[in-house]
Amino acid sequence: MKKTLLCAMVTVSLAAAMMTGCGSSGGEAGSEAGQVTLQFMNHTGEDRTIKYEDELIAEFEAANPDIKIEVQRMSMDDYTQTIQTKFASDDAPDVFVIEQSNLELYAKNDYLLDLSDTDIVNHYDGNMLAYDGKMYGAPLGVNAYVVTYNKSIFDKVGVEIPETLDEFYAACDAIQAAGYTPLAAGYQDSWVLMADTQAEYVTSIMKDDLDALKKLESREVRFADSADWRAVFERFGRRLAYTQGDQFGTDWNTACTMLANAEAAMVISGDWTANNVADMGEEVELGAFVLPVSNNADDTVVVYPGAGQSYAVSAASTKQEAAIKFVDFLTTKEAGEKYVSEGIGICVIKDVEAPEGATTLGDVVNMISSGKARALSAEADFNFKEEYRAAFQNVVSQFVLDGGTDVDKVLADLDSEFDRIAGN
Amino acid sequence: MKNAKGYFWFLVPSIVLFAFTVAVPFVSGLNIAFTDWDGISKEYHYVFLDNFIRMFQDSNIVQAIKVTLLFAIGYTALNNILSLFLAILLGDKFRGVGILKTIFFVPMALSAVLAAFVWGFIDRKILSGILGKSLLGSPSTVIIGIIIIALWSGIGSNIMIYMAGLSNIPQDYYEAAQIDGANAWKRFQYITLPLLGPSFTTCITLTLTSALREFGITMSATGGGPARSSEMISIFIYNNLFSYQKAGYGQAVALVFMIILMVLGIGLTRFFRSKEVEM
Repeated sequence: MKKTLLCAMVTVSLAAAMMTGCGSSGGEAGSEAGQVTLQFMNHTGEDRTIKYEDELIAEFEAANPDIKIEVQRMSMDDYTQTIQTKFASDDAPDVFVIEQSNLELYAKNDYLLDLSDTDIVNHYDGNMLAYDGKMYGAPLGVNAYVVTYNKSIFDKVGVEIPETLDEFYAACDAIQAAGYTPLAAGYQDSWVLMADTQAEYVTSIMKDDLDALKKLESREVRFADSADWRAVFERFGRRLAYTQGDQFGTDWNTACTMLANAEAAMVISGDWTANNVADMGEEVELGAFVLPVSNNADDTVVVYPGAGQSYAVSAASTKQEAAIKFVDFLTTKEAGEKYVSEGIGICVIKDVEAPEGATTLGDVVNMISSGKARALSAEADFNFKEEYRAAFQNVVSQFVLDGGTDVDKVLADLDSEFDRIAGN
Repeated sequence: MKNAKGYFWFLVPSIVLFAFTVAVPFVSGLNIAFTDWDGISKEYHYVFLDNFIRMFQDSNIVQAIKVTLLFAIGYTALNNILSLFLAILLGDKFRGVGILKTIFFVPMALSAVLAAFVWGFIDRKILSGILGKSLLGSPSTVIIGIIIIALWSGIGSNIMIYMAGLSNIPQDYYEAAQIDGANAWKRFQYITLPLLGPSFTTCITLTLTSALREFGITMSATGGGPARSSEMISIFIYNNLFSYQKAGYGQAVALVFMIILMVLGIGLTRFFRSKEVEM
């Protein structure tokens, strides 16, 4: 008897929960005339950036009591697929984040609202996400590939920031001799491996040739025939010896933990590394420098795309006016200054200046202000297109698993995979 | 017989749910297999059998088939041996049997993503320390790692079916055999095994077909890596459908795969049914 009663109670409470669930979402549309709720979807992952974003949203909602923002965040790995599914099912969020790599596909299919005639254009000196002469995305920060290092290890071992390749190897040797792991590699998350190789080929190849990846995809250039690509894999293979080993059994967070706990001295990835490590709790002093790619110190420059991840408005949104207002608010000079002063990253909004005082990225920001930098056009895309990217990642994974010594094989394998995909 | 119609109404909710979530989308997506749809654009063109022809020229699909078979056969064998063994153990009455049952069944309530997350953590932090290298991080052991996760999270259902099957075997048979001098192994071999026939039919068929379709655990644990070493057919299809912008091709592979699974499922059921003995 007792059991039946319990069952009945559970059933009733479940049913009630379901009904209230429906009720609240159903009531939203009709409640309070004039109240607009915007769906905002992105893949912000780092706690500090989430906090920054939430504070801005709260400010916006306070200034615009009639607009409510509903944020939906997911991991980068799920994001692209989710947003494409939402496009296909006419369920696109009002405001979302896009990258250069998807711009053409989305713009061609009329999923993005043309922002050219809005005030948002005035926030930029021309570095917005544009396709066919129209502005489709409003960028805030740009990403640059950097080596994030643990200052305490560098101090203890007594190594300086390397500016040439030989200095870099010497620093790695010294750190290894002192009993630390020079490089933490968390390749279990596939994007980490990609970012690691990008730190090589963006600084060495794409700096001078924006279309380098497209030429490989169209097979105009073959990996095996290119001395530059051979050099990329020779360098990448050589520094594998400085990693902790079992790279595919180590994930991104573990690699960051190793850096934070001073087990490993460096992580090669992007400017986001420092934010991620800062979220792991411990007080740890980090710095960042650009990975040297040659023995000429002048080649070591910060390379960054004119426009990074950008805010876009759905062309299918029924609340475009509010959405434009929101994107405008997210990309003001004040928002940009907050972004830079909280040390979140590098900003592309007009007239935003880096604050005095050392943040982790201070050295990199200084390199930009002192001209040791190369801003690429807004069309720069550091990623291969999806299937090529997967093939690249798989072949390079195999290269890592084989110990990173057989450069001929990785180049030949890349060519045969790219041939296969291009032939299809 | 009079009640048959009445019973049918109990099926209606399931049938409606199945129709709207499985049957209708399946039929309405069939034509995609004959198109060059990229998975996002509003228009597509019919390319007839091109997608099916490409399937036979694709070298990557061979690797996916190998991985799938390796996992499915390994998982099915281990799952059935282990779950039968545990079902016999748990069929006895001893202190703590209730707790043990709960321990084996609870993981079934967790999602594949959660199971993969928990085991990914164990693999990175504990197994890698014991074995010197993580299971999921190297191509030679990644399938073993995924089998362990799948066993942990899915063994409960087979234990349940085997326990039900065991409890259906009349105790008289065992007593009679014991009097005739049959030892425990002989009793298992000549009574338990043949009389468990219906359970074998269900368990082996269901485990094998679900293992061939395995997606969730692998996707969340490794995403098919490292270097394609755990890329199963289901992940191959997913990648083409969603990541590579080759939805037409992905759908074609899915269609062929589904037909193979159906033939296999029906064939296995027929085979095992023919071996079953009447009690």
